[in-house]
Amino acid sequence: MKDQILQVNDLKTYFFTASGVAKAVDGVSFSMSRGQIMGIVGESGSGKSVTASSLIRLLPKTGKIVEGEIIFDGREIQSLSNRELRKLRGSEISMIFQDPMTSLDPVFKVGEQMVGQIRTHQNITRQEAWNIGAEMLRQVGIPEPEARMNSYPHELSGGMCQRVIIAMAMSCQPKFMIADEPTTALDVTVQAQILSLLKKLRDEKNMSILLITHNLGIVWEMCDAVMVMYGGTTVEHTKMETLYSNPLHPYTWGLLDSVPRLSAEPADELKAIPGQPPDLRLTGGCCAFYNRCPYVREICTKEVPPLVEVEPGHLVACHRQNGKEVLIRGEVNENA
Amino acid sequence: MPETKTPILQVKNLRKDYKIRSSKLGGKPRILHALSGVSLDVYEGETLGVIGESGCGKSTLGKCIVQLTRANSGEVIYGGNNICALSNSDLRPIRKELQMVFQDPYSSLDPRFTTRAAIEEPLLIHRMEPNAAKRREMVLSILREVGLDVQHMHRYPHEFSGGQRQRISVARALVLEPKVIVCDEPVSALDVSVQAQVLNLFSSLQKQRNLTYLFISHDLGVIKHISDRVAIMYLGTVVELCGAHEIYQNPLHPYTKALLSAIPPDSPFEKGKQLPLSGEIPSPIGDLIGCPLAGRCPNRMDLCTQTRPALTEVFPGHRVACFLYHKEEYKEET
Repeated sequence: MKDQILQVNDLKTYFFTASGVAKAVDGVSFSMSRGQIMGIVGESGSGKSVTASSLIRLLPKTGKIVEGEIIFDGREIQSLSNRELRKLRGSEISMIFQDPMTSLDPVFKVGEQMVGQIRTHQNITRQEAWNIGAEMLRQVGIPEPEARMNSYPHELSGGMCQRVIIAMAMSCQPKFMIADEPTTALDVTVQAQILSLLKKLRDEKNMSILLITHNLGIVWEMCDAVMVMYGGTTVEHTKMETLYSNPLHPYTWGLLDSVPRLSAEPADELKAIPGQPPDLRLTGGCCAFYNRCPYVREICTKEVPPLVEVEPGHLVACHRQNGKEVLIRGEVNENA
Repeated sequence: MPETKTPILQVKNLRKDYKIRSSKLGGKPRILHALSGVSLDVYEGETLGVIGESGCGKSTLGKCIVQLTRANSGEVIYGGNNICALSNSDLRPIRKELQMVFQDPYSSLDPRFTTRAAIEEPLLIHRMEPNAAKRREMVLSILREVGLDVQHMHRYPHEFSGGQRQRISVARALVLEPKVIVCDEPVSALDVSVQAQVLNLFSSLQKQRNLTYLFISHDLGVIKHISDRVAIMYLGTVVELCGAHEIYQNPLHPYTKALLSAIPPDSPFEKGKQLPLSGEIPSPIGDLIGCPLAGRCPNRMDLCTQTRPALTEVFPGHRVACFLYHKEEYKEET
């Protein structure tokens, strides 16, 4: 891929808990180019947030990357020392989290927090950092940025706090941004403002964004490529338009069908996926989706389906959709 | 059509204010207007969807209807009585018929109650069934109705997933055989695949039991799917009230239009919508003169900053609170 910025190979992040080993991410590979917005969609517990946190090794104590390599801009993240990694975080890769109200420290003014963050990475005076901070706030569309620098987080609304977080994340001109459900806690009209802001930053600064969401609408709005995750594995990875027009994995079908659509004709029932998402301590050795899949075959319970390139640029992990065999959506499963 | 039926529940000019203590010692408290004059009719067997952004008063409306909080003024008429005026003891038999399902299935169930105890509790409070064996039967049959079974009866909430807990909350409301259920964001905390299961459960229960829902949500896709009629709320007032299909095909109020344009698209080929609203929702604290949307509205007129538009019927079954549609010329044109 030309102008590649990130390459992840066979990443495995496990959580070692008292009740067993949870395979939160179990063999995920992908790559991203500069200026690309890639989405990761999946339900809670599918491993999408852990994948993102693993990229900058921001894991709780119980979590550990047990295998795999992460190459960011020519450097292997796993081999960096903590000190080198701290330099990278915030200056080259920054991350914004779901809940804007808890991401800011309530006892410090917005300006203090921005100055601290900027001066960690740049050797400049307080006053210069303060000016940069105010300028960043102006760029993300906060009215009266100088006055807002002196506000405490509780004085700002959720949408304003998320703008401050984005301004902080942008202040060191990162090449790569991880946005973990950046708008889930916000109202739709504010969400639309934040999303268009992220898109503007990508267009102006050629920044790559890894956007984690459970909302397919946001994917259609924002992303160039999409990876669908389920039970810690990638089930489908392709261009955004392809995922909409020609999805191939049964889980993707289920996901697309279960969203109530505004433009759809009124229907009596939504096509829900039966059952519950899997327990990550028990996955492995089989397809993670087999017990909810209407197209299950015997092989699905015995072998992990490999991620196969079914058509150029379209990767699917399904035993029945591997290029040799073609599964038709809605087909009756005689083996069920 | 539901319009020809008599309403099962009428909300008339409901107001709810909260006093906010002043930060200064001895200062005058400020008033937060959570509901400033809401009027609605809910017809038997229908689902009325209530949608709005956070802070618009939609949850307060739900709570005021089931009398979990008492409104400051206005009426809620159910079964011929204004239930806002009833005392707590007179209200008790009516509470059985008006039930509520809450948003967060993690905090709405007592962690120390088993499923059976949780569902049995309302039966005991309302002294519905003195016989313990019969009570157990009732609990079991309601559990089966919401898609759980006998093996779930003696488990605690932490052993269930979010979707299952929400099913228990629904069972708890249903066991009293209510007529109206106020559902306050019942699927917002669930993943989409599970959300679809719970939405289907709500629809099938409604058909079997002829339930009436007041369904509160911030997700327009969910609201459109489940509702017969939709009320759009903004800053403590209903700005538009119409059939669920109308809201998408023929939105009238500028706020409704903005809300629709802000929703992420259904497909990648629907891009390029503009967002006409800028800024944020003004604070509901203090007295507001004029239309609540006046500060953000692209079609603002002088009149909007002086007087508050009333919710007026523009088409049959389609009410809007906006001066744009109140002018006589508009009515004649259409």
